Amino acid sequence: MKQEHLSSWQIEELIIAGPGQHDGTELGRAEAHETSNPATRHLEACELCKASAERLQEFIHLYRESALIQTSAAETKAFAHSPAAPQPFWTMWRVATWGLALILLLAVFVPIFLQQQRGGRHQQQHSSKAAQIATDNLLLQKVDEEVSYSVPQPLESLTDPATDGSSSNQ
Amino acid sequence: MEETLSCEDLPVTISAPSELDDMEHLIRVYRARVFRYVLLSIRDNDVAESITQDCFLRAYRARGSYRAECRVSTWLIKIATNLIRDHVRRRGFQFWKAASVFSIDLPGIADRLAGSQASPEARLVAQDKLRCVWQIVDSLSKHQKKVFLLRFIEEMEITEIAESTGMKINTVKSHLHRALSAVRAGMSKAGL
Repeated sequence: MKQEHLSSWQIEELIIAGPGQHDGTELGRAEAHETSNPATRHLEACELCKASAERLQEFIHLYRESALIQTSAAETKAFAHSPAAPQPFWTMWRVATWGLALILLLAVFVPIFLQQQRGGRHQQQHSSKAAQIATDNLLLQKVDEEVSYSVPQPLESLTDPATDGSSSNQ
Repeated sequence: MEETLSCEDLPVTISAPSELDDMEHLIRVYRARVFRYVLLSIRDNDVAESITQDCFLRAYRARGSYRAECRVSTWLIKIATNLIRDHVRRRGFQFWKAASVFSIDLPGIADRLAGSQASPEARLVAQDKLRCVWQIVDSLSKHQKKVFLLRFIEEMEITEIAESTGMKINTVKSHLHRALSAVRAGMSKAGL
């Protein structure tokens, strides 16, 4: 009797179904599947189909192993900055949030503070200006008094030139 | 007819949103997995790092919406898948940006896989084989690669892949078949 080989699709189907590797329950399910599937039974008996499936499985295994090695190295490199108990990025997120809040707070209060300071300075300048004016006024008043003192008081009456002349003629 | 997916069908190993509150634990357990998936999908170290962090940040923010109907890993992969999709869309408009391309250390990996006792010839053969393997997987279409990675690297169940990618179960299976066919064709072409 001529033995029919498994089609490519059937071999792929067996590889896709594959034994579960997560836990015992899935393994049990896979084993049950194997015992009931005629394609699996054929695979066990037929060297040609078995070799074909094994080549595909070997390919997948090789890719998987190399991918695990490669990505594990890349992961170590990528997250090298994080300590064993990784410095969680959400901690960084919290820090960033607090930082942002602080910046906002500063953005609100610094202008207010500056405004207040500017106002104070204006007031100070204003008061010093008033004091200066007062001093100036005082000085002006003093100068005015001094000047007024040195100016002769009501002018004395002029001597009569005619009287002066007669007396000289005498 | 397409099968409908119910999240209740998925096995639950880790549960409760309260567990999601412990983000340090979550990152310790799942970061490698999420990063691996993102890196193999995008092939850019910096972007993979950033998307992985973003993925956990979004998970933390949305922890209240997690109903423990599926695994946390499935939920995280779903978030990562969405972020990858968004990134790929955005990248279309940022073609001038230079990517820090993920380069594969083929000699190093080949040495590790071949073993320390292997001859130099055997190492070279292993390196060559490995190069072919990566080229074949890289040649897969976007959807084929996504389901291939989730099924064979992350070893997720078909239902979980459907849940994470938003595809229907039959669509996932179809993409997986096409991916394996493309792999077989590539292997024949490369003489593997």
